[in-house]
Amino acid sequence: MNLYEIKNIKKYYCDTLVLDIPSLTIEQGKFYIIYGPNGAGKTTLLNLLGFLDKPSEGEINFGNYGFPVDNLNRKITSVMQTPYIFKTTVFNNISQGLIFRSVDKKKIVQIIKPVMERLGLWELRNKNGSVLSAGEKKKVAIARSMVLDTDIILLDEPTANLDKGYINIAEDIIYSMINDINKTVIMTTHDLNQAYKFTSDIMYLVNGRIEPNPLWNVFFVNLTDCGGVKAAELTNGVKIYAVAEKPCRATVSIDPSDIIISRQNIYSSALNSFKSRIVSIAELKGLIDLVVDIGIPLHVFITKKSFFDMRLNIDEEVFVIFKASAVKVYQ
Amino acid sequence: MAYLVQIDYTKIMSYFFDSLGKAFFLIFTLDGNILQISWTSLWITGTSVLIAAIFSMSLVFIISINQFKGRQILITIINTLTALPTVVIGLVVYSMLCRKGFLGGFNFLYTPYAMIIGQIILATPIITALVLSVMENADKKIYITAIALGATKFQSISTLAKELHIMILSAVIVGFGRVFSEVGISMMLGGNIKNYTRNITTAIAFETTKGEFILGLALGLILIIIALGINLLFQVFVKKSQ
Repeated sequence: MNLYEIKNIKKYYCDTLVLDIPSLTIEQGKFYIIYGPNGAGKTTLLNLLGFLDKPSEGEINFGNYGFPVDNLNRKITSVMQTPYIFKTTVFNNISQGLIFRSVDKKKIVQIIKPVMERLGLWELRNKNGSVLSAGEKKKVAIARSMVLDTDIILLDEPTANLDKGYINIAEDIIYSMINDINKTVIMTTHDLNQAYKFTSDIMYLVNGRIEPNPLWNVFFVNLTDCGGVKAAELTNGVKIYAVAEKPCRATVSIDPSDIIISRQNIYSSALNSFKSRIVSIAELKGLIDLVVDIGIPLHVFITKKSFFDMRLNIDEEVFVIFKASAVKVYQ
Repeated sequence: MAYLVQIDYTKIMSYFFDSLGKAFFLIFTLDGNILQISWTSLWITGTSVLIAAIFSMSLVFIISINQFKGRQILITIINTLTALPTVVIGLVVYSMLCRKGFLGGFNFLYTPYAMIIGQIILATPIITALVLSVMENADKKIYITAIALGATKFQSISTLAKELHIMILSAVIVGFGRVFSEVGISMMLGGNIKNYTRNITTAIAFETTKGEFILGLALGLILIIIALGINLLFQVFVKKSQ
């Protein structure tokens, strides 16, 4: 079921176009990542999805409700990049959303105590929120969104300013949200490594526009130990080698420029070598984009000179070679 | 034709020190008349400002929550009313409360109630304009955070007011200062009746007309000391809040 249907939305700030999305659909129960550099429009898009701001043009249809709907904000919760913490205790800050919903005081304690303990905030419960560090404020913001248990969660750079230990805890919490099939989670990040930890389904936002994914040859795999390196099966019988710290489930990508095409198999230090067939040939930004079939399609970029020197054609058999270290692992 | 005016600074300083001494004498001897005048000033002003603050906050909530036609015009009118002269307020309320006025039946004229009505009219636009300015210039994140946490419009404006309570209280203190020092409304609607409607400002005016400049100045100093005391109490409250 489609949760959001975005049609031709544009957002201007002082006559400057900061967001321009012709069409976007977000399905219920899925996890989305909006990746992009600073100033790409990630926060603006998230604010529009949270109905905290209105588009200058276009429309956002939400579920079957249309827009606006009373109390729509009670179905969605947002963790902001630099959250505002109310000038009251940490406990009151975290319980604020529940107070807005008129939840009983005893029940509030039952709900928020485990969350606060998990994030190491219980000891800070009587401390004034306005004197917390940036990382502590972020934890409070995560906690006060978690306790609301809404169906839609919008996370704007949720791990920014957190210590490494708490990044892991926050990521565990995000994982638990992903595993809840009833929850739709939309998260922004400018850390591609973090983005691919969670999903390979990433929206790439640049200058307010959704662009094609910047990574090529992306696969979600199960990495296992294999003689000092890690191995992963991409599809039946196609196993690639990669370098990773530990066995894990991870997203991997192979830069098409790091792949060598050869007419013969080469005896080299590269661990990944496949016999393949050229499926398509296209020109891309001064390079040749070959799609070769090694069991699954793989993009390879070569220069025009190499392409003409090798006299490559569709359906020809070639060898595809790349090093284990050319496989970028996002874990 | 030029006039040569000789200013006797020694006499002015003498006046000042004499009145300062008199002011402290009146305070420390707990002069019954002064206590009565000060108490009249305090309770009438306090009541007026309290009621004006309630009116102002209601008005601020209505203006902040609702986007209605003429909202900006209303804000402009409120801002303009901050410059309303006290004698004009006195005159308007007088015309309403006098025997022939439409509120004449209440017999409020020359009572503290008439002074309170006038002072509410004086304080409400001042407090409303200041609080509106505070709310409109506040960090937008406060409102957005409340909305993101599921607040209704009323709850989010309440949260905003709660977060800005010190600045709102400052606005109320400014309103208090303005009302505490006004003389036009008190004189026209209260009538400066001894032990009843005579407050510090009307007493100053009265003593000055009698030629009792030292007592007038002493009363002026007492007014400033009370205003200072209230501001100091506010500062203590601010520090405790932080």
